[in-house]
Amino acid sequence: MESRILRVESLSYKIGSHWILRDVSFEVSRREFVGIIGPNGAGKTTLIKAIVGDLSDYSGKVSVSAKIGYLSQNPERKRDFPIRVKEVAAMGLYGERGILKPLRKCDWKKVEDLLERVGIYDLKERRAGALSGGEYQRLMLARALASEPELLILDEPEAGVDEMGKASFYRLLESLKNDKNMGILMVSHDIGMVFEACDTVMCINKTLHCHKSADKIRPEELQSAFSGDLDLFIRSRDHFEREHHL
Amino acid sequence: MIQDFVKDIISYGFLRNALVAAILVSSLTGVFSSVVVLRRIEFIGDGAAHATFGGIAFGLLLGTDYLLMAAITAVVFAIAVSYFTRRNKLSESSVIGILLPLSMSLGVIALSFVKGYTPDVMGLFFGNILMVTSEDVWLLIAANLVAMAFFTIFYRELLYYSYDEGMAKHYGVPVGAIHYAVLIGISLSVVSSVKIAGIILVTAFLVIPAVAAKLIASSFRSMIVFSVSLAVVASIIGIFVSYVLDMPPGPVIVVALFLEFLLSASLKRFIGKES
Repeated sequence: MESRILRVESLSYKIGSHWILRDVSFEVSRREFVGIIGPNGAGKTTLIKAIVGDLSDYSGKVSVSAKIGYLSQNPERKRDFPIRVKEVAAMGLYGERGILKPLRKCDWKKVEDLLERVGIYDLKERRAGALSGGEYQRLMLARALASEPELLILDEPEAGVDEMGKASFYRLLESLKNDKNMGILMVSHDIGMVFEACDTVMCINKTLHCHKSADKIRPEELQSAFSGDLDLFIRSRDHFEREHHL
Repeated sequence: MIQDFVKDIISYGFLRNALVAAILVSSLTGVFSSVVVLRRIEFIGDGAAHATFGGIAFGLLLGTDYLLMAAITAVVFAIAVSYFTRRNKLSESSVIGILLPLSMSLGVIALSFVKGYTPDVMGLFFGNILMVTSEDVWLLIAANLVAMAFFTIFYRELLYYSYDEGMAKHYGVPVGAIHYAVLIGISLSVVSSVKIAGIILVTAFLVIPAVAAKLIASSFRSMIVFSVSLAVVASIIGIFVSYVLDMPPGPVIVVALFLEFLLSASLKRFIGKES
């Protein structure tokens, strides 16, 4: 089984004359937990969209040789929507079953096993909107895992989750990576947690400034990527809110 | 009182048709109301009804069946709303706000070319539930069957499209086709209901039952069932009360719907909606 599951070569994307991403190249292997960090507007989400197939008019090449599970950036929770936790998780199985094919008993069993794995089995019959930030993030993870991905991609999964919730969420990702032999690519604003949890860290600001083992990144490399956006270094509470104009 | 009502329902065809039509209109619009409210496109009923004015006016100008022209206009309206919302990333309400006055204006221009007697086209939009024909009832039965089949067969697609369109698309749900089908379905439902129930009542059916149901439902399925049930119950109560107190049925049904909404809001407050 080939170790490399994702290869991005010279990826560039611009809107009008404004570069969003320029000449980004990197690879991700199985059992590699990659953290992507970068300042506001660095092109992190654009990069993720190009990899998961939500963006097509870029130049360069994205080669994915693994099934992708995707946990999108999701600032809107729709708390009053009448949908049960297990129904949200089952959404991840839609691609496998397809149109006009309702879920079978074994599919629902799979959904329940996933909810058990991420620690929210007891909440399966509740409305998804009633979950806390941490519980909801686990639900999103269960949905992303439903298609049995080999590469899990997460875009700011820490949004709306407290510190304790974040720490246990990252531990869960680490154990999933080992159990399922997965690669994980995670965009995060939580630099402290990224350096603690990830195997390698990518610093992006339009271009790729570095991609190496977390303990080998030098402060100057971070400084060059963030170019003065120092709030990232102190894990500012309102970073997410400012980026999304909340 | 109830016995007299039942006796008159059996004896008088127009009263029987009115009751049956009210139930059918309420179930048809009630089933779509869940998607209307969850997708926040409450304006669509009003928009579709007014947009058909243009179609009816052109039907009169060309001397063709005005109901057929209304149906064609409703489909064109729905496709145009779907197209502009998806292509230009505009909200449904913005596009409806553009197309509604445009269609009305084109209708007025078309009517100005109609020679001789011009019937009161706007009168059609106020509806008359006591003038329902057997053909209207059969049309509504067919529309109900199609709508129920659509919601049964595409339940998961409608649920995911309403909940999170972006991720639904990512997982392979044909959200574009569902979007077009939903808007065309709503528009045709409005056209087949508005002549009977009038704009106000159709708009009420498309919004109030689902808002009330959303307060107490724990799943999309239960919300649809509650919406249809609340709409049908309000229709029966409305027709009965209007018969007994000799009042116009449409407004009484709207008041019944509002009372159901208040009841639902109170229920939510007292027992809590989360299990």
